[in-house]
Amino acid sequence: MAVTYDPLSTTTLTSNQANITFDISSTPNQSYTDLIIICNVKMSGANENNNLQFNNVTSGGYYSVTRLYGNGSTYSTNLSSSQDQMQLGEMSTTGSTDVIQIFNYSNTNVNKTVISTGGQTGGFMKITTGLFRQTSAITSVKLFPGSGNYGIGSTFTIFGIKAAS
Amino acid sequence: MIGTLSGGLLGTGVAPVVPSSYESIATANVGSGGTSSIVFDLSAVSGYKHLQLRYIVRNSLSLGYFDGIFFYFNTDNSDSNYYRHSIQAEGAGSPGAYAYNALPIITYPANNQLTNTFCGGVIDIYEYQNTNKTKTVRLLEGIDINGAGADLLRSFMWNSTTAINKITFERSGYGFAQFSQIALYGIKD
Repeated sequence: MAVTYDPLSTTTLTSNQANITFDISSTPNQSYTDLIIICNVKMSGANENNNLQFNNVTSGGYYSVTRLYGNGSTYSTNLSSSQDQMQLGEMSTTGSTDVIQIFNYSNTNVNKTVISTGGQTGGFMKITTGLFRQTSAITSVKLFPGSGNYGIGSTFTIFGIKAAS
Repeated sequence: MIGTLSGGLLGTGVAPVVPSSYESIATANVGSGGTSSIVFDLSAVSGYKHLQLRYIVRNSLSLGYFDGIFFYFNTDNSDSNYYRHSIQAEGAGSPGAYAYNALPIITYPANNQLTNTFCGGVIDIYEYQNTNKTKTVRLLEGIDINGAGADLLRSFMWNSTTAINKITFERSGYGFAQFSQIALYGIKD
């Protein structure tokens, strides 16, 4: 059987930082089927959304999301279409996790679907499905909060999962 | 749409196993023209405690917005032997929670919806060979077509203690569009 689920890189912040980018353009990093990014974050200032952009695409409205979320007492849904970023999990100053799954990221026949499952210590949880309306292979992933910085000690790990051919 | 696509199996010519707790077992890739069903034969698979399926899928039919295709274990395709529970977001509407005595299901966009767009998802099948327990399955999947979408978290129960030796995805009259993919992985203790 083919061995898979490989850690590609991990970043631990040694200072507050406004964004982090994974460059996955190299040949080995294009050879997986799916990517999983685990963000374990303490925000440095205020609670904020975790945002994502692919391939340095920052305009044109190529992103959309559908969300299901709860705050400990109520739950709701919403969606945002034709955005310039995917707004994913909710990051908090006390601790939060966002697990981002990127399906078939190098398949040039399909738009890219993302599922994020996030939770934070304030009691907020969110499942988000994101779409990037481009069939290009994903070669870079940028993560950034809606405003402010990821705090010192926040970690970001990216894994590759390879399906048997 | 043509025939049935097998996820394959792997009896001969298998490469030496390198120790790992998560391994790829087989992948079904849907080619031109689509396929009516996808089957994973597990009869020659051993050494794993849990299974995971990771997929991108799209309906081969141009029917509505979103619909679903069923899956079942071994040869048991009787609704009465399965339980299905879900919580889900359906676009901007109110969240829904549902329970059925029915076959497990995965959701996918119709073939006339946003071009090149698929449902992504992950299915976990726990202790699939344990003959002392009924089988529990968890599913997380999502679709977004830029203006409509769904997030779905589901659990299923197959009311049988029989070991799972086959997984079949099919629904009469439905199918998978080209470029749909279901990949099967095994997880060890």
